[in-house]
Amino acid sequence: MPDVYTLSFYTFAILTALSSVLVFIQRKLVHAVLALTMAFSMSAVLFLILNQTFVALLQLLVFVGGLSTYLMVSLANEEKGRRYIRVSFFIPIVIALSIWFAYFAQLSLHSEVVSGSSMDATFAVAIAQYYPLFYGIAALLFAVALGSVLFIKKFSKLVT
Amino acid sequence: MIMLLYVFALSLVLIGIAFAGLATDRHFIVIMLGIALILVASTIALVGFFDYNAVQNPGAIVMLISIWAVAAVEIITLMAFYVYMKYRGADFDVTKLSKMKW
Repeated sequence: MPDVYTLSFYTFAILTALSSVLVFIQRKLVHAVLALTMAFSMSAVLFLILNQTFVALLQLLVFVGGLSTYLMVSLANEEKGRRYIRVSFFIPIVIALSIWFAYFAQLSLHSEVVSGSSMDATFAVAIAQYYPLFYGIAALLFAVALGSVLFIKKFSKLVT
Repeated sequence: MIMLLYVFALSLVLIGIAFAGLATDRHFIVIMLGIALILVASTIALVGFFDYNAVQNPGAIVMLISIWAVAAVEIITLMAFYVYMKYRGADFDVTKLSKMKW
């Protein structure tokens, strides 16, 4: 009889595979991106089952919180002029959720270092020396996202 | 403990689905989503290795984050390119993309 972890792994593995199939059979691009977001989220749960809390949190922050949102907003605005999302309403929610996730990640890192239960203290210290690199990556992502938005804005003005 | 074989099987299934999608769909954005799916599959395989070795290697995680950052930058740039092409009225069928400059 398989234990709870194995059963959860099977369940989320099947859900990940199903949502991956959905990416290619959707007719609308926005729905395909939603299916991909679901695949990202399910794989984050798989990472949690495989004892990789840090990678799971990063997956949620970078892919579900950042990239999928960017894709959704871009495609929803572009696809045949039909508005799926009210952007002015959506952006504050995304920012609030991202801050909440970042706070949760920091809290869990600190608590595990203190208790020394699931995450090794040496691992947390070793990760801490790469923080400047993380800030560099965040700055790079921000610069590219901002640059692309400015580019699109400038170019749409030129055409219309 | 979940066997490494199952994690690899899932990773291979995801890569298979992504390749099937890449082979059958010719839309620019769908191809981009398929490549993102391959990235997820490779990450699952890597995490399977982490779990199998039961060692949290900071260097490997930093490498993983760097790869993610590059992939994210690539997708953002491709989205800007998509919008550019849309405004220029280009066809999104990749087999019809013959121009590098409009």
